[in-house]
Amino acid sequence: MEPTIIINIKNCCGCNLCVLFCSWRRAKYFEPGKAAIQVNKDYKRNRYQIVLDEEKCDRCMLCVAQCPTGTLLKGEK
Amino acid sequence: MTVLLKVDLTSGKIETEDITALQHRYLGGLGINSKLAADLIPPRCSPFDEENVLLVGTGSLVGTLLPTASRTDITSKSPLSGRYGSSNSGGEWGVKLRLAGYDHLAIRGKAKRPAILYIDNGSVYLEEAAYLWGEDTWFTVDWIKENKGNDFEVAAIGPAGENLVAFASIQNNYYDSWGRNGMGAVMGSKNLKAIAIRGSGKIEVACAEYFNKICREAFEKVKNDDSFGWTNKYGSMIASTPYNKIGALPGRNFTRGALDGWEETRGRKIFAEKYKEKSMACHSCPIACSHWSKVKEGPFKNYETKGLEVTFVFEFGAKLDIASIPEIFKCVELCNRMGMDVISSASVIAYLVECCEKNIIKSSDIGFTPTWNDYKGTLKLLHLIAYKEGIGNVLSGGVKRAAGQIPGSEYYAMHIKGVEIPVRDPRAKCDIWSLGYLTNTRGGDHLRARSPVEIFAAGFIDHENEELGLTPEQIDELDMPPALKEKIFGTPPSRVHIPQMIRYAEDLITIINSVGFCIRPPVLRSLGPDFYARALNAVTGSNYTADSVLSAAGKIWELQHHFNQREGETISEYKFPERFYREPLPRLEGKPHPPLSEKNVQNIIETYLKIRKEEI
Repeated sequence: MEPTIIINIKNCCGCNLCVLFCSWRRAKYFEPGKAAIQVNKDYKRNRYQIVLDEEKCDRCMLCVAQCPTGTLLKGEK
Repeated sequence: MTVLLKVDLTSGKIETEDITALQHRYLGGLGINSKLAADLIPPRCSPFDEENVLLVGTGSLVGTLLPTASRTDITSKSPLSGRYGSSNSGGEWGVKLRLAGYDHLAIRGKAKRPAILYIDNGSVYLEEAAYLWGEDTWFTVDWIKENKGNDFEVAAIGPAGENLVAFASIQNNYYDSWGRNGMGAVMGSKNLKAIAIRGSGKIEVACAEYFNKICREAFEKVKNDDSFGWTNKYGSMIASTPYNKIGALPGRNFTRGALDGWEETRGRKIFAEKYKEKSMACHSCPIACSHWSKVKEGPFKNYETKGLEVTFVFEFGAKLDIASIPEIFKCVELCNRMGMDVISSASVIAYLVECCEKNIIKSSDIGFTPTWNDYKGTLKLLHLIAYKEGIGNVLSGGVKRAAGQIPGSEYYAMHIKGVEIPVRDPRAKCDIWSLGYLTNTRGGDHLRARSPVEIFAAGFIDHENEELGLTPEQIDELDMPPALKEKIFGTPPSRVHIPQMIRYAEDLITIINSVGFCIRPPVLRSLGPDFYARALNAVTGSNYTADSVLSAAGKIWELQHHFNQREGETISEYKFPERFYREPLPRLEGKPHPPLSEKNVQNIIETYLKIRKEEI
């Protein structure tokens, strides 16, 4: 069984903390564009999409731990 | 390195300057903007002169993952007050500016034709945008995203800014604003329709190990603050219910502290249960105090929007007594699209309605009869103001100017230093918050002096001292230099000395606005000068201490104060509108709040100004 990240997008508040923690852990600076997780936003309609780069992601689960709304959950596959 | 991008719209010249030295003296954001305003804006120039400079300053911690580090200050000479003007907004716009490689902007001159400033990482250019002139802000943001890329963050003005409405806002994408003080009109006077940013670089941190420690501390303190839960659930709407109960609303142009049916139509519970769909957050914020809402029945069924903020409810809901949340949503949307400050917009309309009630302005002169709880009339007036048509032209300069044109109406013009007063009636409680309206360097506004130990229910010992309401342990834990604790709370701690606390609250908020944090209660209450000094040192490699950040905040205040003095400000302007000294304020239950004592208020202001001259 491998750990995986389950995305419950309807809860996402758009805070970008997942992106920031991912970026920081990988590089020790903030380059959101190079994080393994990205939040694409349609501000006008409040529609969000979270994209996880499975190859880049090393399943550290920091994003899951920091998500304030339960949008990101730890799962297994 | 702190980088200033300088844009001359007249010549088209674009250059950068290393201003790191200013960051070490003036913290960042609002602080650096205040220094640049003092140095670059010529005394006595008109806000609409080419020489006036529009200054943009991202907080120096913005773009990191520190909680709420997302905010940007815009400073210029205000077309509303003619004095120091400043406005603050969150979201992601400032983050993208830093990611593009710039921390501050200084925009001067005037473009020959309407233009957009594009900052696309290292590529900075002006593009003619006559085809967008006249369009509202939402159309403008849509156009830029569709034609230039969805990853552009947009600050845009609407028709109000183009038409030089004195309280025009700059809109931050669709729903957020640099609202107060008419920064949008300065942009309009420069023929600048929008500033669009794409930033995909990086933000570095001077000391990674120390930053980790700071970061853990900040999240722990903010999330463990007592206010965290209710701020997340209700956001600013938490205040809607108690303000009506206590009788502190600015109801019907500050004539009623409470309104019939308020709780059932505009209270926090009905909002949370009937309209709120989910929480929303600014960049890097775990609090998520904003809301996404949906109307589920009635004429606006299925309408969705960001909101509600309590300011919108107090302005359209109380000042104009519009008793329907969906109608308040729509009034705010129109302000956002036209690019106008919600507070000043509602205030000028409330002034007009009261003047019509008192027969100072005749309905026949304006072609219709505006009334309270008049949604359609309010929309009509918002349009007239944005396009400066009919009575809208008179109102577009703000209540002070309107009163100068309409004899006998001055008493109903609720402003301080030319800036319309928001949100709460000082007669309900003349505390740090209320007195902060007077001392605020940007005029009548509530967001630059809020006590980090504010307890709304606390009573007064005398007019200069408020009951403490904190335990000695809580005082010990406060992030505040011990000498200041003694001055403010006494030894042993027994009270809050109001003038001392006004100074401290202003300085604390100045620090917050300079580093780019938010002033929501979980942050305001849990983090203080010592934390901000260490955070600045970790991120920027500065060498700040708690005392030196406070000292910097004091210098920043002095810069703003001197800016105003050189434009002619005197102590006589630190005065509430006459109504607050003359009339009691009715509420639904209990005795009306008595009028304020002018003598007591003036005593506090004099003490405060003396304290301002003291070293910390």
